[in-house]
Amino acid sequence: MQRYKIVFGGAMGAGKSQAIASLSDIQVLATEALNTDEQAHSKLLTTVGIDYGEITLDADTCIGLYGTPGQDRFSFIWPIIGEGALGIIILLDHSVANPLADLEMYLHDFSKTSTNLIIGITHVDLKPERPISIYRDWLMSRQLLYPLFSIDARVRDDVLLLVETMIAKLEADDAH
Amino acid sequence: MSSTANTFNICIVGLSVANMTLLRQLCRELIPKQFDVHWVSATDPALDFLIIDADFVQARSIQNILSYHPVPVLKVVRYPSVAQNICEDTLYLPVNNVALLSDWMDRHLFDAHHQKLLTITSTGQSTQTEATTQQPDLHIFERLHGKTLGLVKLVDAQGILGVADTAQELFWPSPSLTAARTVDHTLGIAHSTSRELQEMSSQARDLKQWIWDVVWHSPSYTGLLSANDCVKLLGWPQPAAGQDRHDVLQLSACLHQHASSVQQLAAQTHIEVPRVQLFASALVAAGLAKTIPAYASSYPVGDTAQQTRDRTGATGHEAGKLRGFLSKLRHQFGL
Repeated sequence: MQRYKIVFGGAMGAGKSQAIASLSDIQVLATEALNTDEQAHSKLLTTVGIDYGEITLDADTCIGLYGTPGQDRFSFIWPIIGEGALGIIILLDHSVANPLADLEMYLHDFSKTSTNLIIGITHVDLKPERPISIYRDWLMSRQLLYPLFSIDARVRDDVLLLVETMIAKLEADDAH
Repeated sequence: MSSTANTFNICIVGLSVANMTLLRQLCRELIPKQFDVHWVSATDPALDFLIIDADFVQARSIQNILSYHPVPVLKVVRYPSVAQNICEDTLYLPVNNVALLSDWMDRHLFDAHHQKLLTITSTGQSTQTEATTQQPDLHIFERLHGKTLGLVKLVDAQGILGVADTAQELFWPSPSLTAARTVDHTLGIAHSTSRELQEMSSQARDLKQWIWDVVWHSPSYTGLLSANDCVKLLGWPQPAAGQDRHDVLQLSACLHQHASSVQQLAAQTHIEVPRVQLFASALVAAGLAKTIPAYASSYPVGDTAQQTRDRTGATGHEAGKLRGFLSKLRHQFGL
């Protein structure tokens, strides 16, 4: 059996669990607990271990979908989960007070583990007055280039856009 | 007030009532009768011609208006100091020689008005003859990315497309704008107002992404870049679903690896050159890529996939396994 791994990282409430659920063939195994960090996010439950979903391609091939715990006190486990992944999808909640700080933190941590990083910006509708260009400008000013799309993690086709981007990058790497 | 083919919108600033009345009369006499003359404020987006006291022309508010909405300006000096009535766009009062003013208006006002009608026709009156001979260029997009224009509206021969805030890189589409809308060389920008913004859709879009979308769907922009032009990716465009998405991601992923020419990109992805040309043109128009000299391209000339694998130590078997897996994954999700 060949086993591959796709990792979903990002802040609490950014939509990692939802994104995994929209792709997984199995019921997502979640390790949620009552959220006691209401300053970080108002959601009721949050992932404290990992989320796990699975895609079975055929009898010999399976992909594990791993969601990292969002709170940064669990950051020690992020590189462990990201190790050997086909790619890491970073989801950022556009509506939080300082999404650029999140972007910086997750890029810093995950870029040590993988070069195939894809960024999805979620909850754009909750802060429409804040332009998406802030992320692009931030990356450009640091001469960084990552695929960056605004998505709704509840919409399967939006999550598939991130996965297809990851595939396109792997194919381009393979061609050269 | 909208600019139309048979209307001149004129503003007079800083003159006494007597001089303003005199100049209004002269304008009306010198502008052919088939044109209407409307007296508007300096901030009117449809302004065609500004007559202003020379002392006020350097005022910051006037210079701001002229920076985003350049129109012919006739400066007026109230006390005679030169023998000529008009010298270097300055009219010296009193007007002794109307023929000189008429000549100045012929050269500056009517020429500028004609040019404006070629690029901004908000009445839907198209200039088909000129349209077939003109090519789009990047100038309009470069101005939009300047961030200093403020609020501007984008218009073309079919009407208004929407209002953009260049500083925030946001775009509010016109309620009548459809996803299938294309643009051509008649695309132009003009100063906009908060009132016009209120008439647009309340759902703002990312300006760069909107430009990418509209140019990507506008075949007349195919020739904006040549097959030999080299481009360097600065940011990924967000594709819509469907076959477009596959091609856009494939092209973006290749450009992500290294800057390359349109021709090289077409060869690498097996996508036809004109489609890659349009893709690259849309990227550059949107500010998501820039053209670079060929010598600065990092395209690995002659480096095949096999050579790369040799270089990196990956085996052909492993690469084949990965390709097979990715193919299965695409199949699973119908990608």
